[in-house]
Amino acid sequence: MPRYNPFVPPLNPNVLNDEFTTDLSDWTLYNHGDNTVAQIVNNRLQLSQSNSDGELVGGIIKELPVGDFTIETYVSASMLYSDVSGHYAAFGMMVLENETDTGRFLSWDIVLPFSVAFPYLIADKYTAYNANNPGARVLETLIWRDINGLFMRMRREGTNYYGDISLKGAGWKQMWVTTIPYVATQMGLFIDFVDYVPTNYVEVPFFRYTDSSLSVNESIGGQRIN
Amino acid sequence: MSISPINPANSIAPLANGGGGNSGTPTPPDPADGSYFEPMASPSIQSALNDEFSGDVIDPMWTLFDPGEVSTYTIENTGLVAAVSTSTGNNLHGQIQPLPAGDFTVETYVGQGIVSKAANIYFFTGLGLFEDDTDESQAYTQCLVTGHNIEPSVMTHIWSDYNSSSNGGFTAFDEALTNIFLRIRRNGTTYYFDYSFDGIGWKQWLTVADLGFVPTFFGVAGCYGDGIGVTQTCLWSFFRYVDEDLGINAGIGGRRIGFYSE
Repeated sequence: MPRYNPFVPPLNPNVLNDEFTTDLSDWTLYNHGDNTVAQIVNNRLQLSQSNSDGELVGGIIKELPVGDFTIETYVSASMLYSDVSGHYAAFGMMVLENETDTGRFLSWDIVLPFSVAFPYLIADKYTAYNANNPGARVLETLIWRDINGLFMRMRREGTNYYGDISLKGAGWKQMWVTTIPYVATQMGLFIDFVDYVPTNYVEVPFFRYTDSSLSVNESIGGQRIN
Repeated sequence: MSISPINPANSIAPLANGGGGNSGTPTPPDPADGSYFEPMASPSIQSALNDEFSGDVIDPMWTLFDPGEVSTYTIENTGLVAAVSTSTGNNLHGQIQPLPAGDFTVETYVGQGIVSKAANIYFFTGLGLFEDDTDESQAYTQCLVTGHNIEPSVMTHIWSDYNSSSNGGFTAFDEALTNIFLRIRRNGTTYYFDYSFDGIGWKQWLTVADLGFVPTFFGVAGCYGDGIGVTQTCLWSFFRYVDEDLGINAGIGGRRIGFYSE
């Protein structure tokens, strides 16, 4: 019996998609904190950070076409336990004003404490790679603790930006909508392990783009397979 | 070792050059071949100690550990299943095999068939390290634990023998949790305990410098404390071993597999 599998790539993938099977030549390393490594490991994107002092967002980015869009990914973290309060891992996706260290960006991420405390979903408006704006936080909500990964996506429709999540990659829940005082021209995936010295990792099986804002009952990827 | 290939009836074909946790540096498949990453997929190169529990009978490499004679082990279409209905006190049971010396990583994916959470009943499903294969063996287990008046948890237990245990580490989850990936790693003389909800990212939640004994056997382990006559089941989807400490950022299994679209 055919069954839907959200990890299966779309039949007609957009050229901006990446299933992370070969290399990262289509991407630019966003590494202003000089502590982020991006590589393909076991046919997945692996982002890692160590010696993180405060918030130092790093990742990979590529050009975002003008107009409406939807970008989807699945992100999962490999982490060491810490019982020190304030150690946490943020990882997810972002759209950026530009690629510079002072370029503003809108982030959409899971925040997992290194302890066993509950994780959060957070959407933030950053003013630089190392400076978010807590007063402009779009969303902060506790979520089910039994996750280390999640399907996430961002959308643009006109001047509005949206953030969705899904546990299974089919059936999306819109979590927020906001506007930003600039037009995002870059999109990407990021990691931010806060105040933690050992190396930790984020694993990403795919990044997918389409040039429209999908409804919450549509997905870019995933197919029914036999 | 009678490991069956992936069932052709499922029409999921492993790629000849697909990656795998202990397969060295694989040649990545061309995205045009229609592959995707499947965390449950077996490694491209299987250790002789692995078992995907896909045959009709339990592989003879396993030895039943069940001093209390409480369990019935079978291979079902979901994997290895242990059924227990009645147990006086704790009775550790499992399927074990010799553990090679040196560093290692061992992984499994467990589930539980639970119908009762009566008072003082606790149900364990996970991995075990055993001092030896005798009925008096000490053991150290990492299990998904469901029980009375506690949330589903991953716990470690120190067993002085099959029916005497004390608590080690403890980390609780949501009531809805029924399945989880579990892993134990050894690096030198230090043991690391990890869990994962998706088989992609792992959380190292416990480090133990000294188990109190040197394990010479390992395998799957379960326990139904004070079972009251209602049959409950442990499920293991696979048992995978590699002779190195993979660290937190790699799994033994999981790789890109091909598919036939509808």
